Amino acid sequence: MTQRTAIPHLARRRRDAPAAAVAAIAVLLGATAAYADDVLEGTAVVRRNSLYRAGRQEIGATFGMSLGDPYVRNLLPGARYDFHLTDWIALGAQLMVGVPIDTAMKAQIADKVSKHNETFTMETSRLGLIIGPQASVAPLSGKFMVLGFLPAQFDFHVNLGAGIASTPGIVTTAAGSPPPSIGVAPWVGAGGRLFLSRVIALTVDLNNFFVKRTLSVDRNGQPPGAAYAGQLVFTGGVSFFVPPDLKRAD
Amino acid sequence: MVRPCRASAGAAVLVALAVGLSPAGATADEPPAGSGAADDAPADAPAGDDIDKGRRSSLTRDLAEKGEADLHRSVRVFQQLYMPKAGRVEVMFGAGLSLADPMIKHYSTDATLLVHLGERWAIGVGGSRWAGWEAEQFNMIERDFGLFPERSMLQAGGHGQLQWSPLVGKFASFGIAVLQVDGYLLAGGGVARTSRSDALKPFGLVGVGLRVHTARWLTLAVEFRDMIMSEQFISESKLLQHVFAGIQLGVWLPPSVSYKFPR
Repeated sequence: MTQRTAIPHLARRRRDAPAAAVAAIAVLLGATAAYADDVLEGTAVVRRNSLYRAGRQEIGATFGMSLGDPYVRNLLPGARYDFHLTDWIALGAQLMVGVPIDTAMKAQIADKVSKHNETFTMETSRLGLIIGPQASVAPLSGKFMVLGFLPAQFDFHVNLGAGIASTPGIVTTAAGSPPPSIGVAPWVGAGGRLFLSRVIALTVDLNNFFVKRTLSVDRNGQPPGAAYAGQLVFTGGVSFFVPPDLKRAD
Repeated sequence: MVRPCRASAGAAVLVALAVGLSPAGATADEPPAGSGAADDAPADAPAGDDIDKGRRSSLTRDLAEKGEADLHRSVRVFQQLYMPKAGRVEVMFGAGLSLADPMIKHYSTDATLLVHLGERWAIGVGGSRWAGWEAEQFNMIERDFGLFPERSMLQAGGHGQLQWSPLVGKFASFGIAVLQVDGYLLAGGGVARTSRSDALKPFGLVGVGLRVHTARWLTLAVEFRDMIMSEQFISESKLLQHVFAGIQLGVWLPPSVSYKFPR
């Protein structure tokens, strides 16, 4: 490049410098304003989602089984009712009726002890009836896709309740009276719901019922004192929700 | 001769962009309120023109709505996976507690190395240590009936497993934060040593878990596992089931991921 052509080239750049400076300042001002006006800042992470529980009533049929039973396994068909005050808290009640199934251990103990005590009868208690009100809180709710094409809503909830439990089965008296067969039974647990549709959900729960009872008589046929112990019960069921329409969050 | 001035054109473009970004920029869709745009129309326009205008605006609106509906049907929006799993290795450290056994209780600690072949499938190997003790029910049988039950406590073992993740989702807690999860089924087998003898006994393993993606390199999973094994007692051989509930902390390698988009 010769000296004669270089000077006009430089002059052209200097003439454009003010316009470029103005443009740069304008861009910076615009960019700063755009950053400060982030429309999503401070907003909820989830908006306008369908509320599957808020203001709805849940009526369900359940089937449960006690866990960790040494002598008598309890099958527990039952029912539940919940009124969901909001999408995350519900008040309701639960009812379960026990169907006993003796374990192999009970038969083994009866067989071995009766060899030394011919009058021995292995009396054991079972869960007869559990009924009472409960509250549940659903702190987690969401949705997932099964195999990439089947959407479903779910929630995880915590249960807290207190009611009455009957534990019949031992008729032998100790000190003139049989052990108590009805008592207060609080429980605590957790579970989940899987919504198959707007009105039907599958439920699973694992609750620990604190029941005061005597599990069995001893080798002399006498019942030891009753004591509170935790009884794990696993239940599964189907729930129906009414009304069928869903509310939407703000 | 007028020479093209590229630098000035570039500056003009920048100015135009700045004006567009500025919130004070006015839109050209509608005239400002009160501008009296309606007054611009001549007072003596025939009524037929108004009817034609109304018909054209209605037709335009219908076409716009139809176009938008077609656009929604044809365009699919997919959210990126927060934590892709394919081709990554997960090192899991876990602990658990036995359920459903009234006589013997176990604590478990384990470490597992999982290789994620894809977003759904993973294979891995791991080792476990167990600590067992007699529960109150075990002592009660000795006390109440004078009987001494035979015991079998897990001690240590190793296993291999195959994981399948059929579901992927997300959840929120009171609208505060959204976390992604995936649920998986696992199956496998291994060998374990128990308190009855030093011989290694084979066992089968099935389970289910839910993995929460807390960070791109860290996950927390809740698992239920069922170990099924045959144990030889003095009187007979029995099939035992050890059900465990536990948590697994997963560290992912490599810790960061990047998406590759086809062009």
